[in-house]
Amino acid sequence: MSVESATGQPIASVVTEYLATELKIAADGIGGTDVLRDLPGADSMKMLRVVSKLERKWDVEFDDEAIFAVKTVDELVALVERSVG
Amino acid sequence: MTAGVSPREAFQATNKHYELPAELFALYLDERLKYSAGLYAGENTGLDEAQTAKLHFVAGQLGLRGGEELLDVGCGWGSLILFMAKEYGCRATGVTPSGPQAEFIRERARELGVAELITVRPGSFADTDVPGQFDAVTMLGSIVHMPDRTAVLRKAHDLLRRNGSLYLSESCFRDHAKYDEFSRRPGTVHVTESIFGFADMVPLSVLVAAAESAGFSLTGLTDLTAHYHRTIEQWEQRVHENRDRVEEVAPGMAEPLIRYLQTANAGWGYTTKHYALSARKSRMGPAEAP
Repeated sequence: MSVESATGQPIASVVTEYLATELKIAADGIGGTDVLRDLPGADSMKMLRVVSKLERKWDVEFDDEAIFAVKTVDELVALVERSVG
Repeated sequence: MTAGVSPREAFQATNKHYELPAELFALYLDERLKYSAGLYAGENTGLDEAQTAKLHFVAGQLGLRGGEELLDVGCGWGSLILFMAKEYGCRATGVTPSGPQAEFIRERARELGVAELITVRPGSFADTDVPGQFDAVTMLGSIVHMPDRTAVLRKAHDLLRRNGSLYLSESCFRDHAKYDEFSRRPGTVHVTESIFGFADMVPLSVLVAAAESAGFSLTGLTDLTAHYHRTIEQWEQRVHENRDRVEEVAPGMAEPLIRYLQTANAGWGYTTKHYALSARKSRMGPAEAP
């Protein structure tokens, strides 16, 4: 069962959409177990821009250490779910 | 980046960016070419308005009442000294290693009718003889370009009269761990070296320690991170709007400039902070209630 955002969109699909937009790649090419830093064109700046967009969308601030501990797409989704759930 | 860089090497490297034509900076900065954070009162505050508000804020932090003697270390295109001369009647000296900036300021001072209040000392602060004593010293985003922070602040302290005030604002990694982890990453190196030549964004605690070692009493700390974020958003928007002109004035500059602005803005609050610190040359600090 997936957690949904206020607009009814599952969090996982928002995360994937933001990653795809930031990296200018197709959303359906992003898998849950993909390592964020290995995604095409990924760097720490772009990942922080995604994190910042996610925080703004739900008006939350993730725990600092948790942000920098995230390695995979699924872990990023889990971070959002923990913070908004 | 830090080890083995002499003040001279740092300022030679840094100067490349600041010697680009003023016309380039006019395309994305505010009307005064103030290359540091503005201060935003509300959602619809524009860039020019925010920079004016910021200059009044700095004057307030320094306790200016009018007619003081002020020294701005790393004065850029002179936005602060020209403003303090015009609005507060201050006799203002600016130090900049950039020849084009020095020339620009002298011309602007004549246009504004404050030439007799303005002195420009070309050179790096560490190597420049600055005669006289001052009531206030400002350093907005300049100590990041100077490897010898304590010596620089000690010199500022020496140049201040008793009870004189210091206002210093800087972009900092938010702690030592972030500094160790991120200061050598490609995105950071693009900003600190490709764009600025030399910039060392030490954590605030390092700047506080340098100010203490230089003999200052610390009087205030303001977090301006959100304001710098807004400022850079507006700069970036202007680069996009004026992209063709940017490329005409400085061919090949638009892309690295945008990358620098985006990198800076991605990091605020996560890896970096922007703080303003104020201090006094005084044993006891301010006697009057704030």
